[in-house]
Amino acid sequence: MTSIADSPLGGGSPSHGLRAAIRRVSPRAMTVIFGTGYVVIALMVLFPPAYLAASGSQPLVFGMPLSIFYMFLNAVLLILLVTGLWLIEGVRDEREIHMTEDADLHPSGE
Amino acid sequence: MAGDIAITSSITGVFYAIVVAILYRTYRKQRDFSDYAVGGRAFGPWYICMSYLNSWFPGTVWIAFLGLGVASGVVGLYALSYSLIGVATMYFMAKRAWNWGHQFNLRTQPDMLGLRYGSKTTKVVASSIGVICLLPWMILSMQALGVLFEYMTYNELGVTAALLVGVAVIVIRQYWTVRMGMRGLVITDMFQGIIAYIVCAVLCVFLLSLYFHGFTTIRQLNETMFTFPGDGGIYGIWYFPSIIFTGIVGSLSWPTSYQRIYTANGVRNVKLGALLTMPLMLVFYGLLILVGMAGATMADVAKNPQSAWFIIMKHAGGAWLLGLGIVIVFAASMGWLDGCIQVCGTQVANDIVGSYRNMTDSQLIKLAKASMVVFLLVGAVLAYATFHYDKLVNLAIMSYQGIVQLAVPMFGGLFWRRATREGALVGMVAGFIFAVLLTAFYPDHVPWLGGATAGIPALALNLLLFILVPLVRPQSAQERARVNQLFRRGRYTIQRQVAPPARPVQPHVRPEGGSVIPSES
Repeated sequence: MTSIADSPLGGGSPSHGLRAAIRRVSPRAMTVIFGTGYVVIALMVLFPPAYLAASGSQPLVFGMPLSIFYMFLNAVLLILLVTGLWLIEGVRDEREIHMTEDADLHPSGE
Repeated sequence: MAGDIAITSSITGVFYAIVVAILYRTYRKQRDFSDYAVGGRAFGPWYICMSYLNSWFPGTVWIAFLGLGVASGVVGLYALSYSLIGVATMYFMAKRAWNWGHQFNLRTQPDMLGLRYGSKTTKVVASSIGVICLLPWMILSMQALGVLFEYMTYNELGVTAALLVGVAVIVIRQYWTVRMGMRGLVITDMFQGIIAYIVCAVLCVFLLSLYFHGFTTIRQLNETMFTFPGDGGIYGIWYFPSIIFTGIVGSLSWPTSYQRIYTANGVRNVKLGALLTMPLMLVFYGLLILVGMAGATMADVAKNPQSAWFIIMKHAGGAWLLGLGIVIVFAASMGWLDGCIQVCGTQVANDIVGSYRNMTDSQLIKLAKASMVVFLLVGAVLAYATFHYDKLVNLAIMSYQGIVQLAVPMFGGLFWRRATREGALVGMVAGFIFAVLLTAFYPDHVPWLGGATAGIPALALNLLLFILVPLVRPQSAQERARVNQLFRRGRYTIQRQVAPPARPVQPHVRPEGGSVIPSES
């Protein structure tokens, strides 16, 4: 039986189904999904209308002035995106491990 | 006063002794030049994480960046955004960068450029730009150590004497950097990183919660402390995106940061190292800037933002806390300077001299060591000679706008097969010269470009030439085949775990002209 510790997304049949679905997603679709997420998060701080909308101290969010909250939100979203990618790469067996000259080489199909 | 100086000096002395003890305990003679230059590609994710942090956050973060937070508020968090996006970018490029590094025995960032473009000239130019751009930052970091020692001795030592002591301490430390190469560096980065970033983050939590009472103090600040540049004020609308974008691009253009990819023992560990780095960056840097903003409510901090860290420490906990604060900055400064000197020495030997002379591993190690000593001594002398030269900061800004020009051939080369050596070279050189010239006239921002920094139009020129030149003069059929093969090699995924290599992969054919052609295997 798959233990929760064995699986990045937990054990049980629903997650088995989820894992299978994640494995079926094409590499190109993965690139588009995470690439879009990356670009949107980057635009939060690179596109003036986006960050200027959060300029100033009001309203307070969780006691924090708005602009500070915005910068922290941007950071948290990016960390969540990369963490999500890491977990999904685990499900898809795409995390490379040690490599030597005589190791078997298989195209990853990226 | 003497008692306080004894406390701060003792804490710093104990820290320094622990670093030296770690270096002695972990010393091992290098097997070959790769062992010396990239630590034998043997490090796991936590080492990659701490090593990257040390190469990215020097001691000046507690001086200049914290000072920015004190003086300008939320703008100080811009470095958090670009640092995190930069690490995420490292995650995305990890597979190809590490695989090429491992398969073709690459040791430096210019080595990768030389391989990708099959060009000795590209490698030498990129390496020269890297070394030249690191020099002013190294000088500033050495001078910052002088400031640190001034605080440590409660200004009793005097400016010049403090500078000499600071430079002497770092010069002595480099004995082990030269002796042990990257391996000693990465191992001590772990200890230095724990002190500089994790202990600092914990300290900031205590300061914010117990000394500044959470956000209560921060909320008392003037409204301008919470507005972004472009929302009123002197800066144009493109200033803020410019400094963030330049920072993102710079995060992997600095050879000190890029080389850390090659120290990992697998793509997985580069990625996990990047992932571990991100929350640490958020907590450490985010809290530090919040401490700075809270500190801005203190009259003496507001008057002297660059000294905010030391003033807050002294007010909050006397000599003991000041001692800890000094050790934190000292740890970060030392980690960054060690990496800078190591990388510059390695690049001079491997990329510049090594491109013109065939040398054995033993000769390369000796040359790298000699280059490090020369670079260190030049830096130490210049740190002393230019201590009162206020244009040095401008040189550092210029070098930042210059170094980011490496990003176009680097990222473009990693992901665009049709990129050519001519396009890379012409774009990089034109971008570098344009960036330096424009920064000389507009060191802060270019008003007629909406506040953009000088590096941005230079990057645009660089990118334009990088794309146009291959359209006018495309790759030869032979070069296209070579690059296609290179890209296929970068895509391979290793399916089973085996022990790390006992010896490095031998360099593949390096024919005249410096092109590295992957051999069939």
